[in-house]
This record gives sequence, structure tokens and C-alpha cells, in this order.
Amino acid sequence: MPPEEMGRRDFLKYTAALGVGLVIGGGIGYTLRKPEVQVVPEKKPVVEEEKLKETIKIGHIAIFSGPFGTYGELQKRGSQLAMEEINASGGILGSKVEIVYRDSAAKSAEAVKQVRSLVENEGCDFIIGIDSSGVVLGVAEVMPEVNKLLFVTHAATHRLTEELVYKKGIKEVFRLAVPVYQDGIMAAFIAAQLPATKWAAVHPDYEYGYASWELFQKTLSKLRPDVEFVAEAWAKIGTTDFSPYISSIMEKKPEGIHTVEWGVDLFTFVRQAKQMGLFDAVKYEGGYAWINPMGYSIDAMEALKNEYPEGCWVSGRYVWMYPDTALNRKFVKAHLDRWGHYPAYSGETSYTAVYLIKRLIELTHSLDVDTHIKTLENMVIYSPAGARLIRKEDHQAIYEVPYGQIKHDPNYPIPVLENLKAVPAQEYYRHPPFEEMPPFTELYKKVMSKA
Amino acid sequence: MELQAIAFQLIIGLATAMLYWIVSSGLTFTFGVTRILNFAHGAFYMLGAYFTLTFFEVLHNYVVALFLGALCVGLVGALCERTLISQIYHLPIHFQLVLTFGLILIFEDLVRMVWGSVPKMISAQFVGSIPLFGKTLPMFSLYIILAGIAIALLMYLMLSKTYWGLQIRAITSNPEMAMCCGLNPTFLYATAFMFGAFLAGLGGGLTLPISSAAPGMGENIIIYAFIVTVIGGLGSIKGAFISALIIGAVESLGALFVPWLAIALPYIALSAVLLLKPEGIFGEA
Amino acid sequence: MMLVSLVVLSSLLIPLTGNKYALYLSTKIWILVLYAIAFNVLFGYSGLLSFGHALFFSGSAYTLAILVTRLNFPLALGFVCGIVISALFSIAVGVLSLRHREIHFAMVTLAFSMLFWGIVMKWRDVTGGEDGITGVPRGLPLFWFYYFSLAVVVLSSYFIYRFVKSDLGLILEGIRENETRVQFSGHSILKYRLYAMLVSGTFTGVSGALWALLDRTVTPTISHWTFSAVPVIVTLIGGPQNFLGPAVSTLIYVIVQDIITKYTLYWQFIFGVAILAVVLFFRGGVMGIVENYIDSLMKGGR
Repeated sequence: MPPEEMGRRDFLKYTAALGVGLVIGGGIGYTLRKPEVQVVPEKKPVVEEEKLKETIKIGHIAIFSGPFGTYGELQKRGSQLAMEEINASGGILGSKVEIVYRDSAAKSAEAVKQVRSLVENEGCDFIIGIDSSGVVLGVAEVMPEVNKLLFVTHAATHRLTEELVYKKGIKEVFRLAVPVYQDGIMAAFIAAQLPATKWAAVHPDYEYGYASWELFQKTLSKLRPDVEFVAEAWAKIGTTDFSPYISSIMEKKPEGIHTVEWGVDLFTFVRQAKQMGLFDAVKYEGGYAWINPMGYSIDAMEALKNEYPEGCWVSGRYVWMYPDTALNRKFVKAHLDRWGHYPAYSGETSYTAVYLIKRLIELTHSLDVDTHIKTLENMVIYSPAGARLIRKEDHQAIYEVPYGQIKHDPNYPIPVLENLKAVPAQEYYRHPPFEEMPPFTELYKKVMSKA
Repeated sequence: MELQAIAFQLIIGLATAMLYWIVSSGLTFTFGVTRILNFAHGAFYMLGAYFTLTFFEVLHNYVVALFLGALCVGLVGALCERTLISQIYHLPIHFQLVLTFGLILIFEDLVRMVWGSVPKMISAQFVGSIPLFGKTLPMFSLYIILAGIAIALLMYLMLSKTYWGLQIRAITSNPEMAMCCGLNPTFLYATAFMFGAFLAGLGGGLTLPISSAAPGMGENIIIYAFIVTVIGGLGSIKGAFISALIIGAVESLGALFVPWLAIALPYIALSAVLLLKPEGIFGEA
Repeated sequence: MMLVSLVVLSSLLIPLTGNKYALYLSTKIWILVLYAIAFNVLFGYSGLLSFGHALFFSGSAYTLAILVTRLNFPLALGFVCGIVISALFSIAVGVLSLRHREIHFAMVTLAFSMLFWGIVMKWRDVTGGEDGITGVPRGLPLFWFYYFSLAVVVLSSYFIYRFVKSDLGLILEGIRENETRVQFSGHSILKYRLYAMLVSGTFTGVSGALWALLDRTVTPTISHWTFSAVPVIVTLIGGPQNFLGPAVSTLIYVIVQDIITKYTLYWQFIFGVAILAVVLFFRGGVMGIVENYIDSLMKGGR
């Protein structure tokens, strides 16, 4: 093409091509550049004021896009609040805290890439967050390779702590949130106290649903040999119309429902179940034999409000009204003031994760991973959700989260919980080596006598 | 299993089927006329839900909000057609897939910027139920079924009773001939794309009262719309209607008889149909 | 050719920079480069748009992971078995789908790959369902694994290059341009397309097996249709008519995405705009621009 014939369009093309070229070149250069190496000074006990590092960097990975993007937002509120509080009161041993947020897009490979990018390029000292089971297992596998600690704040698969930490010995991973024990085992403790004997399930069609239902059935049939499990429905994630699942369940005349639906699917499910009379079908004197372990999630409460019937049994990985301690009241108030929302469970776990990192560094005066692991094992921390014991064997934080019945209270913008029932955590967090359930009989008597 | 239970399950499945029909009607129509396979159809569906939500919050009238919402999506669709899609009509099909894929990404994030990432609901609209076969059929199922039939009627009337519909049919069956007769393809393609987007928006708005508006809500539904459209035969409106009925029945009976297989059923149906009749039930080879 | 050798030689140096993230990312890029090049055998050279290449990719990744972690196969054997399975898959899918054209072919391949996805999600005892399979051993430290991947990718690409430039490749291009003419000259179209499918699927399998080793985890994401869309987009950005187009654009794709996600949680928006720009303004892809530019230089005689 002769130069003078080069039209406007071509000119645009070449200019843009040049731009793309520059971006690529710059990108390669940027990616390949050496990270600024932060030299961690040797611990010098004499010099009091010496900082470990100018800024302590924390990488926070959660789902920020797609239908479950709100879960990243809920986590961010917690960790950002903690960061702001800590920085306002002098940081960690004088160092500022900085949190870098990254989207996992709910994909394992993407999250693994982000972990590497955060640690190896951004120089993050810790990783927190992670929403889903499939993602957390992939991420846990790379933690020894990048040699940093991971504090899991949401993902609930028991395989993380039982298989990867305990059996396989990946010591860099800790979980601050209660796993599916809450959704399966603890749920069965509640179910055992209800009159219903025929139970049915409506679950999301993936690992979390299967694991919760398996644990629920196993535990409940031990506690109550008289119960039957009459039906199960597996709804794909993102179901718009739950009615085929609801009616196939109702066909089997259940007296109780166990459902671990969450997020948008839960909103849809509750709305449609209500109109199809599924709640009425499982009514008993004291409410509904309806157990929805993650039902008291803030997003669900804010969306459904009073549409979620009073008397249903719900829980979370933390509920903001429990325990009634000064620390928890202070946290809930700070969260409300800062964001105008009650804290979500993953908000609490993220908040606690940042404070735990602060405590850890203050205790050890170090950023050494092995020192941190040793310090964390069997450590007890005080958090808004109450005292947490970090169990040595599986690095699972043990704390209790109650179930309660939904109550519509005009004094609150969202439903609250009443009739809270908590079981001492060590009774239902499976013990290593995990093949056996904890000895339920004693506890069961205790719980039942209270009922 | 009693016959009654199966019959009831089929009626419930009819609502699911109509849901799929509502979403795929616009997709297959747009393809039939413009030969554009619009991946962003799910994004238009999502936009429909959000526009309806916003109009509802202002006007407190669901039906008005629904139409205004769908209309806005139609306008967005027309805008996309004029500025972007019209540039690639003459190009191979993969350009469309990638371009409309880009649109999905853009709309997803726009929605998060404007409405936030927290899913939103409006108050339940079609509350109550009617007795049927000794069970209760919820009003919302009935409403979805009626909405599906209404859309089928609307499409029938638009295509067979209006001058626009006549032109659309002409340009669909023989573009060269239609242009020779003086039809304006630019106008027709733009309006056809707009109508397809309008239908997608209507779908999103229609499902709003039974579920919620959330970023990424189109992602899940679009793959089902594709399955329905492909089984029915790409571009065939009648085919989409019938294959939506098939998928709805397969899903609802699957939930009753083989719950553990549920997630794979539509793909099994799709593979089976494609192996036997790759152009779909009503498709042209 | 000189350029290619230069790139390959210079990429030998990446591990020596000592930046572990760059090492990881460039390994990933190499793997995706092979994925895109293998895909393009079918798309660019045979004119068949497959929307189900995730099947071959995850087929071999899962086979490797299952054999090695569950049945204690040696790693090398698992690696080979994974690739063999992909080859078998590609023959099976090819036999069933190659009769179809254009969008119908895309849909048949999509259907099969999503069927596989359904199996992966449901056959939990073996595949781990949504959680996938973790703890796949890599056998090598990342430093050496990079060189291993590089070697495998370069050799595979060379083989694919020889394939598309052979008589077979020319016949395939002929079929793409004018099916009937090739048919009249006495060649069986189906047979040649099956060869293309086999080569494409098998080398996609090679990249899948490498992927399983790099991340040491296999999840259903890599068998979902969205993962089949990756090479389609990448190839389009790069330009399907050029052998190196997909490779160059994979590099751009991964690096640009990496940079965008660093600065904003709204990375999808920027990425979407970039895709629109490519489709509207750079239809020949990046390599198309380069070729045009070289052409204009030559003709213009500036």
C-alpha cells in the first residue's frame, strides 16, 4: 500500500497496534521485573522501635465477579475494617497494614495464579480469604511452594483440614471458619431435637451439598435411629425455577427439610418453597422443621427480609448476636458504622484473620513462617465470634456457632434469631483422625434434656 | 408412582419449559433473521431484570416496570447492533461469538458498577396457589406458563399480522430477493436485533418476581437457551418452543425419578438429538 | 523463523531472572500456547470451529491425575496415558461430529465436552466432583519443569508445523477453501478432517497433561465450555491464518489479563473492551497487522 493512500482507518489501526505493542512490551517488562526485595532485619531486642517491614502486606482472594461476587464484598468489609482500625492505632509493631484484593472468579487455577502473583510479585506476607471448596483445595496445595500462611475465611470443605492439613501435612494452611461440620453434624443435633422423623434434602448439586447431606444423615441416624431420609433433590447452581425440585420432594411427604442452598439460589428457593407450601408441610408446634445451615447469611437476610418464615432453623459460620461479649458488640457496632450493614459471617472471619496476623507478629516479632506455625498451633484467640482454639492436628479453629429460629423484629432492619442453641464446639468438630464421629451419646442426652 | 404425581410434575415442568422458551425465543429469532448467534443474549436477560427492578422501585407497578425495562433492553440491543454487530454481518461465525462474548464481560461489570454486586429482589408478585390434582400449583408457575404463551402469541402476531413481520419473513427466507424488492435490510436487521433483545429483557424482567437480579444471572441461563435453541434447530421459533417443552419435561421428570443425574440430563438430551439430527428438530441442514 | 528461535532462546533465560512468579506465569503461557496452536489446526487450517476442546484438554489432565493419585501409576506413564486418552477422545468425537459444518459442528463438540463435564461433576468417587483432584505430583521443581514444558511445547509445535505444512495440511486448507473441488479430486474429506482432529486433540491433550502438573490440581473448570472458549478468543486475537498468531496472542492474553487483574476488580470490563477492539479494528489479528505492515513496507518501498 503506497503511503499516501493510508487512510484514517489505517492510521487508527497502526496507532492502536503500536499501543497494543507498547502494552505488551511494558507488560512483559513489568512481569519480569525483579520484585523489590524487602530485607527482613534480624531480630534485635535492643532496638525497640525497629520495624519488621515498612508495610505488612496481606493478599485477600475472594469471589468478586459473577453471581456470587457479593461474597467477596462481604469479606472485604471485614478485612478492610480491621486494616483501618489497626492502621489508625499505630499498625503492627509500627508497620502499616496493606491489603491487596484479588478476584478468584471462583476458579481454582485463577486463584492459584493470584496467590503466586501476590506472594512472588507483590511481596505479600500472608494470604487470606477463599470462598469455595474447589478453589481452596487447589490453593492449599501451592502454599508450601510459595511458603506463606493461608488463613481460610469461608470455604467449608472438611477435606481441606482433614486430608490436606492433617493427613498430608500441609502446615501452612489454617481455617478460621467452621467447616461443613456446622452444616452437617451440628444441623443433625438440631434435627434430633425436632419431632420430624422423615427428612428430605434440597441441595446445590456440587461437593458442598453432598458433603453436608452425608454428614447430616450419618449423624442424625446415630442420634435418632427412628428417622428416615425419604427424598433428595439436587438443583444446579443458578436455578431459576425450583418448582420441579420442590414438588418432587413434596411427593415423598417429608416432615423435615435440610437444605444448604446459599446465595442467590437460596433467595429463589425460599420464595418459591413458601408459595408451594413446602414450609407448611414441615410445620411443627414450635416452628418449622426446616434447617438451613447458612440461612443466616447477611445477603440472604437483606434480600429476603421477612419473607423468610419465622421459626425456621438457620445458622452461619458466625451470627452477629452471638456471643454477647463486649468485643463482639464493639465489632458489630464498628461494622454497622463503617458500612451500614450487619457483619456477614465471612466478614467476621476476615476481620479476625487480620487481627490474628497482628497478634501473631506481635507475639513472635518475626515474619518467619515456621515460627508462626508453631505459635499458632493450639493457640487460643479472642475474636468477635468468641474464643477460638486453633487445633494443632488439623489447623481448624474450634469455636461454637449457634443455630437459632428466625424472628421478624420491627426494631431491626433484618430478621433476628431467637431460641439460640449452641453445642460446645469440640463435640461436633470431628476429631482427628476423623474416621470416627465424636462420642455423641453423652452429649446427646445433655442436649435432649435441655429441649 | 401415581399417575397424578407424574401429571402434576409435568405441569410444574411446563413452567420450567416456558422459562426456557422465554429466554430462547429471542435468541433463535435473532439468529433466524440476522444469522447472528448472540452470546450476549444472557447479558440482555440480566439487564432486563435490573431495568425492571429499577423501574419497579420508582413506579411500584410491576407490569409497567416490566415493559419499560424490556423496552430499555431493546434500545440497548439496537444500539449494540448499530455500533457493533452491524460491522460483522459479513464475517464468519466465530467473530460473532467473540464479539458478543466481549459484550457479556462489559455488561457484567457495568451492572456491578451501577447496581452493586449484592443480588436484589423485589417483593413477591404472584402470591398464592391453586389446588390441582390434590396438590398446590403455585401462582408463579401459572404466571410463567401464561407469560410463555403470551410471548408465543406476541411473536406470532408480530410476524404474521404486521407489515414489519411480513418484511422480516421475506428477508429471512430469501435475503437477496427481499432486497431486490426494495426492503431495507439495515432497518430490518436493526429492528430484528432490537426485538430479540427486547425478548431477552422481557425474560429477565419476567423471572424477577420469582427469583432475583444478580450479576452473572445470564451466565447460567444462556447455556440452557443454547441447548434449547440447538435442539429445536437454530433459527426455528417453533423448534425452540417444542424443544423447551422437551427440556422442561426431561428436567422435571428427572428431578422426580433420577435426581442424582439432574445436572447432566440436558446435555444427554442435546448429545442424543445432535447425533440423530444434527440440524435440530426443525432446523435446516 | 529467526524470530521464533530468538524468542525460544531468550525464554530459556527466564528462570535465571530468579522471579518465581514470572517463571510460573511463563510456564502457564507455554502450556496455553500449545493449547491454542493445537486448536488452530482444526480452526485455522481446516476451517472447523470446535467449541469443545476443553474435552481433550481436561480428558488428559483428569486421566493423568486419576492414574497417578488414585492408582499410583508412575508419573511418566500417567502423562502418556493422558495423551492417549485425548487421542482416543478426538477420534471418537471426530467420527461422530465431522459430518457437520460450521455452527452445527461447534454445537456437537460443545455437547460432547459438556457431557464430559457432567460426568466429571457427577462421578465423584473417581473425579472428586466439583472439588477436583489435588496433590498431583509434579516430579520436578518448577525451575526444571519450566524447561521440560518449554521443550515439550516447542517440539509439539514443531510437529504441528510440519503437519500443517505437509501435503496433508495443504489438502486440509484446500478443503477449507473449496470442499467440492477436493472431493472431485478423489480425496475423502472425512478422512483428512479426522487426521486434523486427531492431531489437534492429541496435542491439546499434551497441554492438558502439562497443566495438571503445573497447578498440581485438576478441577471441572477446565472441562467447562468457558474453557473451550479460551483458544477461540486467543486465536481470533492472534489471527487464525498465521501459524504463530495463536501463540503470540496467548502471550498477550495472559499478560494483559494479569496486569488488568492487578489494578482493578473490574477486570472483565476492560477485557471486554479489548476484545471488541480486536474484532472491530484488527480482524486479521495481531499477526495480520504485522503481515500487513511488512507487506506495505515491501510494496511501498519506503
